[in-house]
Amino acid sequence: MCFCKSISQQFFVSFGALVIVSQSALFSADKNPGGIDFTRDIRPLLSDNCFSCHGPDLKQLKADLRLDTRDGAISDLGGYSAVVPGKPSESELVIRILTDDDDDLMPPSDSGKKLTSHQKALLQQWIAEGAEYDMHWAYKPVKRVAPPEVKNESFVINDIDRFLLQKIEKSGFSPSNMADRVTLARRLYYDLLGMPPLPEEIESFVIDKSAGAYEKFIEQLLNDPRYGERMAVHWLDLVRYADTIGYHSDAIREVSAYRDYVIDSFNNNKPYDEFTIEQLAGDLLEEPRISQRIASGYNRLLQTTEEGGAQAKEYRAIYAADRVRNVSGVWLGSTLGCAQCHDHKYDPFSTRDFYSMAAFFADIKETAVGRQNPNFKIPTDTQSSEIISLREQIRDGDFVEFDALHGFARTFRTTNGLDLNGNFIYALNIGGDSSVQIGNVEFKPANQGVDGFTGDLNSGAGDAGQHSEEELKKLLSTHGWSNDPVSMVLNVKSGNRYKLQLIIREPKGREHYRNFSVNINGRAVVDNLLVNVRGSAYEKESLVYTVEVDAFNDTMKIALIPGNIIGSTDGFPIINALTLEDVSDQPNLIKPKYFSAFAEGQVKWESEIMAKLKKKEDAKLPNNVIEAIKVSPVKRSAAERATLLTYYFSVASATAEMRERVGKLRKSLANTEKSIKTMLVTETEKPRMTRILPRGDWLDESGEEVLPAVPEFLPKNKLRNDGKRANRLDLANWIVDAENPLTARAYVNRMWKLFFGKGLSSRLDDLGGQGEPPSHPELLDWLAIEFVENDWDMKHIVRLLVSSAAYRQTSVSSVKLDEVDAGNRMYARQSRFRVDAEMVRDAALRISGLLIVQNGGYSAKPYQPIGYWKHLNFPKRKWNHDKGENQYRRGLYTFWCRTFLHPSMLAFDAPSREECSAERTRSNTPQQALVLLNDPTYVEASRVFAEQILQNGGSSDEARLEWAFSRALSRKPLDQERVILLDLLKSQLKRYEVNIKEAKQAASAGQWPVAKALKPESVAAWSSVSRAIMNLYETTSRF
Amino acid sequence: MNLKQQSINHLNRRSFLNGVSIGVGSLALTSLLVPRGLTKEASPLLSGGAVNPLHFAPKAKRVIHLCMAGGPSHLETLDYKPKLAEMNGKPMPKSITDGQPIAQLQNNKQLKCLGPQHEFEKYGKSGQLISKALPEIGSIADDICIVRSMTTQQINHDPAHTFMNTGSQISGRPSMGSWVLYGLGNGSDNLPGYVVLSSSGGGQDQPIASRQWHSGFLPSRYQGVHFHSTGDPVLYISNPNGVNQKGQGEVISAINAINKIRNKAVVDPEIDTRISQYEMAFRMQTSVPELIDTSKEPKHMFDLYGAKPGDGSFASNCLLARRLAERGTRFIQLYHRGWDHHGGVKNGVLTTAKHVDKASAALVKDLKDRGMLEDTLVIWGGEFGRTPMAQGSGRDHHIKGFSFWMAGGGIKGGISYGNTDDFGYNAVEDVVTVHDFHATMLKLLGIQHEKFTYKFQGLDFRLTGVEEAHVLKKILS
Repeated sequence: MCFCKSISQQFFVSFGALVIVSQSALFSADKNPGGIDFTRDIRPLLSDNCFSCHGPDLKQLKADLRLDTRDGAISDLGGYSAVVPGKPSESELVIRILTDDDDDLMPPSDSGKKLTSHQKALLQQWIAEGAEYDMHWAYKPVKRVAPPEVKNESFVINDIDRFLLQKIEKSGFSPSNMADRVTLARRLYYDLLGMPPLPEEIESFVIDKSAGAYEKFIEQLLNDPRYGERMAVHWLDLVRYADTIGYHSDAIREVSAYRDYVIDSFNNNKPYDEFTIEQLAGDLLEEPRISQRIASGYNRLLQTTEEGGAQAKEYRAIYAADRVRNVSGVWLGSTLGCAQCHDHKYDPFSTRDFYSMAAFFADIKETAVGRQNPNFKIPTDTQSSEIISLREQIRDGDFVEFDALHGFARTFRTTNGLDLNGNFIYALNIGGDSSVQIGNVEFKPANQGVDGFTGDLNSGAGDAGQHSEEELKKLLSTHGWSNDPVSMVLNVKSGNRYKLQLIIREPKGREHYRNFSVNINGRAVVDNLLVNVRGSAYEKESLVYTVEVDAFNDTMKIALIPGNIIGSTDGFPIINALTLEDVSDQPNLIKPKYFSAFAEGQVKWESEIMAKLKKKEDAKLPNNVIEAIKVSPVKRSAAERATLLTYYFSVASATAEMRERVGKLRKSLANTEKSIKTMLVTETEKPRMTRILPRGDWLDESGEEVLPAVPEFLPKNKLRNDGKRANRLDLANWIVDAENPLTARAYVNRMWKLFFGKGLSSRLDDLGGQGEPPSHPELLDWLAIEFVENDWDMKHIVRLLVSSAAYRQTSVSSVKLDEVDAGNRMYARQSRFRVDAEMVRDAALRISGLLIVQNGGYSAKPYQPIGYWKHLNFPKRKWNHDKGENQYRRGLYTFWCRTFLHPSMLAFDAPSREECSAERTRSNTPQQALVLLNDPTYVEASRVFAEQILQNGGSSDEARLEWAFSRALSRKPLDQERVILLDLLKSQLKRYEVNIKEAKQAASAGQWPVAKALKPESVAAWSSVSRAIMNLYETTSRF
Repeated sequence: MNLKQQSINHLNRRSFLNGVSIGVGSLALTSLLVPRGLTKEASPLLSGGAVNPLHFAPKAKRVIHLCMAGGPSHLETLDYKPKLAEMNGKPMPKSITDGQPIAQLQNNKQLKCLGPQHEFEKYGKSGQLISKALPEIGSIADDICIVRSMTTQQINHDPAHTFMNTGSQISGRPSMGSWVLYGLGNGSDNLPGYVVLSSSGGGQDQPIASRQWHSGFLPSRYQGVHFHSTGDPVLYISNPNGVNQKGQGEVISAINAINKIRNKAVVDPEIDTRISQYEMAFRMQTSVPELIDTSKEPKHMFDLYGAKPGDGSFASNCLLARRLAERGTRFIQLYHRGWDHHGGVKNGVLTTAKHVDKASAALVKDLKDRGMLEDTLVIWGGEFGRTPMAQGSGRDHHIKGFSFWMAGGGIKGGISYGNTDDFGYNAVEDVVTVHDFHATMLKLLGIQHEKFTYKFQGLDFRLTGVEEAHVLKKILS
């Protein structure tokens, strides 16, 4: 915040303000007995109270005084200095914080800031001790510190305990007792799997008294697929994963494959460095795997807009800033985003750093304003084989394929691998300099003569270009396939049937497509055929495209017309060879019945129309068709040919049966293709220019252009130094470089929070100057080193944390402990809290037995109040809750609508995921009570739980209650609890017995099949009991 | 155990919705609990919220924000421009429009002026110029202050609403309603302190995100509660099928009784809070239907507002707003989606005005009759205005100058503030920013905006942002 403008312009101007303060007065307040630690005691004070005017933001600098560096603080301001090391009474800073004169007081009274007398004393003590500055803790290199000696060795299970115990002992406390087995089991289940355990899941652990039983239990949970789902939740909050775009229309987009990638990564214990690199730059890896391309979808998770009237330039700037905030928040625990408009006021981030960071992401191809079209398909194995089969059915058909879009009919088949017999009248190697062996045939280079070739390579005409043989060779061999058409005329025998084969060799490279067309005697036999090249898989194979044609003359002019290249590639598909073979005496490979009938039919049809036109009769045809017919067949343009072909195809009797059959096949092909899961992955384009936007104003073009770079003050090893533009891969490598002081600290701090309730540095999103110095800095560093040195092994850190003795302590506090450490920063006990929104849901579904345990998949739509989406528009849409199994999926799969997050999730503090969210609030509101009491999800779960209780809980009400308790709370009811709930049961039963209608309603809540054998009044009454149990604080809390 | 007994527990009732959800996680706030018990009107400066005591004696105790969503054309409603009428059809001077942000007119080569589509008339003793499309608002001309020099920074609906509500274009900041509730606390012990109502009609249904009433980085108990006109008025307020209020009460009693037993063993303040929140939820199950049930309102009330019971209209929402205000809700926000007149602005404004004109005026009159206008701040306006340039027969979004009005709690009636240029393009006199508007609202509520901060990501955030913001002193009574 900037209070600067209201501060008098000259801060340290005159000696007039100098007040002599006696030495004794200075130390009236108590001294810090252990000496001053700049990072812990002083920097936060200066940062909070002084830096907004006397900090790193030079534009806001007042009185030319910086207090964030020692040089600045002790600099001569004209005969005096703000800080005179060792001499508080001569330091202007001290004078100004102690003065009674409101005009001179610092921080100024209208800033709303005020130093306490203790803080004033600290500042004086610090100056008296020499005013030593120290680099902010989080920016210092991570150092491994030997775990300290402790008195109570028997408490220690691993080194974590030593760090904690040392502090606990220093305060004169002891750690708390170990929690009982059941509490531990429930704690571990919630912490590692995100749901409470069923009795059978923890039975053996609870009674296992052998050494290592606890460790064995942990291993079992770490290897449970539910672990990945639980861990994914906090990551998805960070990277702001959601199913909608966020702004304005908040349109739906499909990115659930990314969510599943995250789950899998945690389950497979992917090292954090790989995890990082794949997300930031998976697309830039050499020959990226499908999972890595999906991971690169991270770069596409930000909020985007489709709002009409939004300006591309503005949104480019908004997206750039969004990405900087996110990458720095997620990986560095830093608020670099604050430097968008001005240099950071509390940390050494400059505006240049901000825009240099943004420049890393300037190569991401996306729509600035509008729909983000899916650019990656992820078919299942079944879908893949279905598609291959459908395509083959379509292509192997008699007439084979008709492309209405391009307006052509074609007959061809494709095969992978070769089926050559060598009986060619023509075989030309047009792809290379030397002979190649394909199958058992040797293809000579084009310029060395061609078997059976008597044609003229130079005689191209019509729409094919003219080339000398030399040129042809050069064009085709040097560049793989040139962009110019080539043609050749071959001698054939009129009336015979020929098989023309194109053998296409795929280059090495990423996925790409190329269109090409083949004309024979001016008619397209292959038109805009899409060659699909998928990476290196086909590198060694060839695609053979086969066309059978009837020769109507003694020459056949074959033209190859290259089309567009789609997608990026390292090479082009090469037509390696072309063969022509007389197959008149062979059975038809491709039955030409349609083709001949169709072609002849078209000629006949055209002449009939022409006759009509001559007689000035109404041909009843669209104008463009008539215009095309009027043109002589040899002079028709491609468009005119297409028009005619398209029209004739749609009416020809020869193709009627085929139209219907292929039409159906195409429909199922389209449906299958539509059902394939898609993803927004990162694709690159030429990096957009990034310039510094003064005050963040996107309309201001006066700022300097910047190139990708990491923040100036942080260690830069590993960022490329070859002079080339650094890219996202360089950034990712820099982030996970062992020298980076922030990455590991930010991560282990967040892990600590998951298992101890609060970060070692409590501000999970800011390790910087305005964050909180860690309660146990040595421990934080020790964990960070442990993380890096164990190759960023995420499960290793989790295992360490949950194995420690500290983790196993009871969470129940004592009055004495609360007095000195109510915030539990000493960790002399465990923390306790209500679990996250997703787990609240999972608990209810798990206890009732409704939960479907299955990793991954499309997002799910649980029950949601009707009309909750009515404020969404463009398009208007309805939430149709899932029928069947998908209704009972874990909370993390809930469809995440950013502008209208599912109200139950929202009530329990799930974030909208518009921005990076490192820590959820944990509120405790009446809305939560309403959700647990009345949301159909919970009502249904209670009803099904009641049925379970009646079916499996034994025959007496007491036994049933015990069964219910063990399932929901892993324990037996206390006597008092028993009385309360059996009273409730009695009274509810009484009411439902006389009101069967209500009983039936209550006993049939939800869409899960009703247990018909049970009496509705019993189910209804027990539903009340089970609702009470589901609603207990204990049920959805982790102790 | 009966619920009435339970509800008289050691926690102050007023705090249920608002302040008690404090546990280990938010120790810094525990001190707030203490003064809350003292709020019984001991001093006008004492509040039940985070600002305690208040920085100034408050003029307003609550806010009703009538948000005219879509961006009403100031040129057809509150800002009369005779010069623009003369310029109708003529090119807009490039000197004004060059280099300025523009929304859908981005690709138009020549921008032409569109004269005011409605006549204006002088209303009331004050003779304020108001469009004939808004005769009812005209009838309260002497009670309202028209601000004609409003500006904003965001030119598209969604970000503009976000900016108007939170003072920032970046998602995740608290809305003004959340800030106010956080600062002042709730005035009701059985209804939410921040309520949002919505209606539509008269123009394009631009979406409104729930972000607009989100509490952002403030604790989520300060979030606005969206009342729905169909289904449950408050989500999940109705008992499940087959469960009557007595049965529900028994279940809640059992839950709370067992929670208490648990709390004896573990002593966790979160459990105390939980118990009180269940009581509050149960009370809301009665108080919300009571609030929504307008059957006891006399017929002349419906006539005054032009409302039909339960029709979900803006008029009905205005009536509900008054009922909420009476019951102590601190911040009430009404969205009417229907002002996005890219085409046909003439009829569009008329149609939308039919939905809102009468009820807006009725609300002010009704509050006045009840003696509540003096401590209720009523705000009427959209997220931006519309261009003096034609977009066909309509107008595009415009942010450099537009109008809104305020009435009640500490506002001088019968005056106007600020002016736009002859085209109604740029605010040129007493320019008002969104942050100024927020600062003024806070001032009326007794809060000095510079001092009203909340720490997030290590920074002291405030509703009024980092730039200097000014209270509009001239409009204060």
